[in-house]
Amino acid sequence: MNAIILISILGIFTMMSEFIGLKKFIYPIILLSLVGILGYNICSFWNTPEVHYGMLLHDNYSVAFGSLLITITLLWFLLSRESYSAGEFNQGDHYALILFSTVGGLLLVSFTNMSTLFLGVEILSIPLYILAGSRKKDIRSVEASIKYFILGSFATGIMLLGIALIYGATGTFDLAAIKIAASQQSLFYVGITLLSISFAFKISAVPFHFWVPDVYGGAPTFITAFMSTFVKVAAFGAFYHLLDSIFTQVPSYLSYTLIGLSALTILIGNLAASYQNNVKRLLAFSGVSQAGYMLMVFPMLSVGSKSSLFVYLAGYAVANLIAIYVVHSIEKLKDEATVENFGGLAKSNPFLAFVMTLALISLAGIPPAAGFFGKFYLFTEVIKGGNIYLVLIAILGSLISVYYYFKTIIAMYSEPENTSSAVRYEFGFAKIILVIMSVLVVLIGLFPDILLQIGKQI
Amino acid sequence: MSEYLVLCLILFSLGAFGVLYRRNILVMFMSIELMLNAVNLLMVYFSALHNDQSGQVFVFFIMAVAAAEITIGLAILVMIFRHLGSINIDSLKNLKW
Repeated sequence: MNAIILISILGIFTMMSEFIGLKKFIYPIILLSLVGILGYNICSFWNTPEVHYGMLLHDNYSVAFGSLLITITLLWFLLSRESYSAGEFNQGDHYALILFSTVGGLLLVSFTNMSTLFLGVEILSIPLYILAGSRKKDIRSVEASIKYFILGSFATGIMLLGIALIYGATGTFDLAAIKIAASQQSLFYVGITLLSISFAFKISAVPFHFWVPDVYGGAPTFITAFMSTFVKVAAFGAFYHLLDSIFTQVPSYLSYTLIGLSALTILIGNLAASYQNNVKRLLAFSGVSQAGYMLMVFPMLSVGSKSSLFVYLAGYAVANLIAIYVVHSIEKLKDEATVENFGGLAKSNPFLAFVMTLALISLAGIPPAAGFFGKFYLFTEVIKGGNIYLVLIAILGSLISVYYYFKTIIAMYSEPENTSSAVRYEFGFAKIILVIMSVLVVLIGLFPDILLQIGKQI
Repeated sequence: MSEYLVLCLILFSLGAFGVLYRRNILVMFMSIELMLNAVNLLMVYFSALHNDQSGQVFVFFIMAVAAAEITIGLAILVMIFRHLGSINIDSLKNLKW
């Protein structure tokens, strides 16, 4: 709860920095404050769980996911430095909006009342509607913004109807009270189904994924990076937290629905991704299929599924941030980041090519990287839950995904140097951050025990 | 007793179909508002049914957030009108499927 208050204050301060003349110092101030808040949050990991005013829960789950969310925001700030220092955007307002969005994400992983869930979703989304359209001169950005807005509001309406029906069945908004009052009433089950549908919109599960490629493709690339990592982690954390708090065991009809959703998401996400030629849209569809893998553990609600979800999300977020940063560097030179434009990147800029390869290998789930361990642990949990067929579908999906990830890698290493695509600009600061993130990806892959131990305690 | 529930569900469905079928973005916004207000009515009804105040407090949250949300939506709408000179959703075809 203190982290939420501190980041809100930081956001308001950032917003005002434009007219109190601190514009030049705002970037280091944000970085230092975020590092401080992250350290403070991690230190409170072993505190006893407590509920603040019946609205926010402070336990190991919320602290672990909250720290992951703050880490993603911090990495985003570190990587997005150049794009903002080049004067492309209005710096202070953007940073403030990102910080407000972070507050929404933190609310989402620690709610214990339906009203906090609703406010969290809105505080997370409303800044992102603005940020998606922040490239005002580019019609594609505005178009992405309006599509995101209409579908986001539609999903919010469905979520509110779900909350209202659950309220009608149980007479309370408090999750603990709902768990006790949960009855066999049809109103309650319709409510839970509607809530699940609205979350399926947010995590981009398949029948509700159609907005993803358009919005991710049209929004400014750094905002795409934020949406595809931060929002996904927050939405998954919230959805799991919701099911975990309301049920001791997911009712069978809901668990079949979730299994069906994840199988569809894995297959259609991967097939659609293999037809893409634009790497940004390819990553958008790969994000859809990754959501399918993570949905697999939702029907179980065990300690193991919680920790495997956490580990997978951590690996996915870091790898995805790296990949989108590289896409951004290509887009700076060429208008579009098609697979052809990646040709010969290994010759013109071996470092970027190497980092991109590492990120894609991690996303595909190949041994030395974090993604392999995440997938291995996730699949083990699903097999423990007795769902062999779902794992078979997931492995089939992973095989398809190797094709489209390697399409990009092969283009970078084997094609002749595309002279006009030579990426030779200097980047000092971002390079250090990229090195640190790559080391992180490899370290999680080589020594998974560290994250696993944290995951087992949440 | 369940007449209110049926009324709210009809209003909500009208809003949902409006979002899906109308092509004018302004009308789509009005349909979204209709959905949210149907939920408000339902909340107040359940609040009275359970004799519990928290449902009515939730309605205030929804009203405040809906106002903030629609403000953002109208700002985006103005940007679209400046680009295209039209507020028809079909004129947005720049992102290929």
